[in-house]
Amino acid sequence: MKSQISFFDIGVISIVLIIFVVISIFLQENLHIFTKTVNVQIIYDNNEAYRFLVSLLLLRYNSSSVYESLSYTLLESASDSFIIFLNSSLYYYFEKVPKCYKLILGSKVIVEFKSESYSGDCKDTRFKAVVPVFIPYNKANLVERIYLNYER
Amino acid sequence: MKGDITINVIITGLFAIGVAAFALYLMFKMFLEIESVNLQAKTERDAILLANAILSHKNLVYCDSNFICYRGMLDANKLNNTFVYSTSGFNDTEEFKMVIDPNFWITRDKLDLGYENTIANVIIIDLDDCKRDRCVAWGGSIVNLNAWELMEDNPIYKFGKCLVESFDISLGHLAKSVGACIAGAGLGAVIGSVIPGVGSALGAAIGCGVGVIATLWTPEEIVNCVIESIPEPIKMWITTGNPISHKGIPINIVYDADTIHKGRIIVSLLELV
Repeated sequence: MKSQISFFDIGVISIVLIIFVVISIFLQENLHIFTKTVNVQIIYDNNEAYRFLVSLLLLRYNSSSVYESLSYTLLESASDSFIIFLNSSLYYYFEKVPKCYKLILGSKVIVEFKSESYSGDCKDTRFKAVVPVFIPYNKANLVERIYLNYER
Repeated sequence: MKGDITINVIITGLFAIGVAAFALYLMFKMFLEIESVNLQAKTERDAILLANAILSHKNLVYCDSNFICYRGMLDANKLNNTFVYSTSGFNDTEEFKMVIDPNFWITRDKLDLGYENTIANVIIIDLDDCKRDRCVAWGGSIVNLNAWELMEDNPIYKFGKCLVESFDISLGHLAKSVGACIAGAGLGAVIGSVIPGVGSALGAAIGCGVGVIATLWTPEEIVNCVIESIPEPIKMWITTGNPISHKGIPINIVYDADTIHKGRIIVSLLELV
C-alpha cells in the first residue's frame, strides 16, 4: 500500500539510531577533532557618578546646601563664585583628571569641563547619574532632574 | 499521479531533515568541543563592594539630631575613634607604620566589615584640608586571617581538588583511556624490548600508565584548574597589572552640621588566597 512505511525505511532509521546511540555513549570523547577555547576575562568597574552627584549636593555653600543653591539656579542664573565652587568641587572629587564632565539641571548646563584630548559633547557618557530636585516657586515644573555625566 | 504528496514522500522528507540535523549535531556537538577559560579579578569586585559598605557603616557615618544617618557622609569624630589620624596624608613613615602595625589593626568591635584572609587598607582623605599637597587623612587596616582556610586554600591543594572535581567518569572517557593504555603499552613494549635490562613487559606497563595519565584530563581542564588555583594577587596582577586593588570613592567628611569637607575613601585590598 502507498501509505505504509517500507521495511527498508524502518531498517535505515533503526541503523542510524543504533549508530547514534553507540557514538553518543562510547565515542563522543574520541570524536572531538576540533577544540575551541574561549578565554573570558572579566574586569570589574563601577559607575561612581551617583556617589559624585550625591556628595556634591550634600556639600555646604554659603550656609545652605548645594542642593538648595542649585534649585534656585533654574529661576535665576548662578553666581560666578557658585560656578567656581561647583567646578572645583567636582574636579577635586576625581582621582585623576577626567576626560570630561557636565552638570545639567533640566536642560540648563550648569558646569562643563573637557580635556584637550576629548572631542565629544560629554552627553552620552559611560558614567552618568540623575537625581530629582525640588524647585520651589517653579509653577511650571516643581521637580526637575539634575544630571551628571563624566568620562574617565 | 506524478507530483502527488503521499505519506511516503512526507516521511522521506522528514527523514532527510532528520539526517541533516543529525549531521549538524555530530559536527557541532561531537567533532567540535568548546571549552571556556575564565579569568576574573575578584579582588577588584571585592574592593568596590567593601568601599561601598564602609561608607554606609553606622560606626562611621554622620547622623543628625533626628537620628537620620547619611550614606557617604563620614563623621570626623567617629573616624578619630576608629582610624589612625594624620595631618600629612600618611606621608610620614612613622605614621604610615601605624596603619599597618598589627597593634593598630581595626578590631571587629570598631568595624565589623572585611573579607576572610584579606588585608584591607583604608585611607580617608580630607580634600579640603591640605597643606603643600599633604592632606588630613585617617587610615587603618582591616585584617581577617584564618589559618585553617589559608592552609586549605593554598594553590597546590586547590589545584588537586579542581583536578579531582573535573575528572570525567563517562564511558567515552573510559574508552579513551583504555585505547591510550593499549597504544601506550604497544609502544612501550617496543621501546622496552630495544633497551637492555628493561624488557617489553615493563615497557608495556610504563607505556600503559603514561597513556592513561595523558588522557585523564584534557589540556583545557588542566588550564582551567591552573587558573582557578592561581592566588588572587597574581590573578589581579595578570588582569589589571597591579596585585592590589585600590578603589577611590568620593565621600564627604562632616565636622559639624555646617562644616562639610570633600573627601575620598581609598580601599586597597590584598586577598591572600
